[in-house]
Amino acid sequence: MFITLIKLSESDKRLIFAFLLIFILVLVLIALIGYLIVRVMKWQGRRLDNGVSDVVYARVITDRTTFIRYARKKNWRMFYKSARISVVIMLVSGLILLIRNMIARDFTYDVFNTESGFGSLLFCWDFSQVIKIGGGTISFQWPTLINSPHFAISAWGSYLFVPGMTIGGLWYLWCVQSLIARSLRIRKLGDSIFSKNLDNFNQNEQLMNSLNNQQNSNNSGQNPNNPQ
Amino acid sequence: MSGFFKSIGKGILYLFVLPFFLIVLAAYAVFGLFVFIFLFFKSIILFFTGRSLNIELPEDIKAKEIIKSSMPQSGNPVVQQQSVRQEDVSSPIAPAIISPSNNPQGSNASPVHQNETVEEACFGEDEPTSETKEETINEPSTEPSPIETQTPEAPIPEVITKPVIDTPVDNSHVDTISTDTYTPKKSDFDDQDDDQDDGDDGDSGVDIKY
Repeated sequence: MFITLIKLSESDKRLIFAFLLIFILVLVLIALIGYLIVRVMKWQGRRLDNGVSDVVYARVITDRTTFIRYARKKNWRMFYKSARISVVIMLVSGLILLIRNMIARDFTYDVFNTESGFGSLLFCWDFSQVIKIGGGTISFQWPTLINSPHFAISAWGSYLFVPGMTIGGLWYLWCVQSLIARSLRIRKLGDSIFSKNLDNFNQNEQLMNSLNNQQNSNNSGQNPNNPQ
Repeated sequence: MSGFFKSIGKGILYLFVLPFFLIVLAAYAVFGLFVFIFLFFKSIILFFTGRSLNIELPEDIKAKEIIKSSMPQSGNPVVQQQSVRQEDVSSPIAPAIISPSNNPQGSNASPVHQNETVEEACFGEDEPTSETKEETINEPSTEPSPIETQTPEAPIPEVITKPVIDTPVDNSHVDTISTDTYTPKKSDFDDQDDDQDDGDDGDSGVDIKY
């Protein structure tokens, strides 16, 4: 029974190999995207240094708690300044859709429908019949095209709303990502600026060095403070 | 090949981390929206009270004041001269009093003080540097200083005279030109500054040498 289950035909093996290859490529792609996001977030976080460097250089703030409170306050204000345009774009887009719905007296309007929505500009396929399972067999079919791009004047509201909301939303998410990056940078700077690291400090070693120096100077008959 | 496997491992790691990152992003987006609304109303209130919601906080203003106040105290003579000139330019009385034609003190006035104000009145801030350079070069040919007579092979730029400009109206000022040597105090800041100046002598436009 088990042997019959793991018996694979040549086409099945090819199919599994193809899926495995696609899976590996997807993983590599995700790794590259993640690497890019990490680099971008590091770049965004370093922009905080321009804002807080003067305070640190001038020693206005000398402890970690005050620095983090100050930097967070500044971080939110930077976020507010940078996110204003994106929020305005999203608000204007929403206002356009509201005006369209009030004109058409239709508040159940689907902005992505293929007749009078943004879907009229897109290719749309029906994927519901791609896989058919029945009678002990699995059959595959190509998806059927249900809409080809065409311009509909009645969809003007969605033509303005969807791009505006997309651009504003992505811009806002970019600002949020900058906010997160700066928050991480604040924590890192708070730990590094005011850190007191004792990793390379050995009190006994220093004591022994001073004693050795004193002993050497005594042997040579010289003052340790004045080696000449 | 190891890099390829490493990137596959990172891909698997990011695949597990991605949902948490998206959750954090969404949480920050929602919380940021609330903070945005709060700051929006706060900025409106501040606007009607005559202020604005600046990125610059009181700590920044204090830090800038500290940095600004520490600048003239530095041992660099260039910084000191620039700060003095800016103060003189800001005073509206200086050009009217010390213009060559209307000078009530005549030749008794200090030539250095006259020169600075004439430059400001006629040529602006950048002129005194070039005038000073010409005087520094031309002066030893007419009246060699005692230092130069002792060591004729010594480089000229080691001697710095006070900034002086010829006044075309009255030639009696030539006798009152000061040839005092200027020896600034040496500090750590000077060492750094000298290192920086060595590289861009041609572009800076400031030719003050010790």
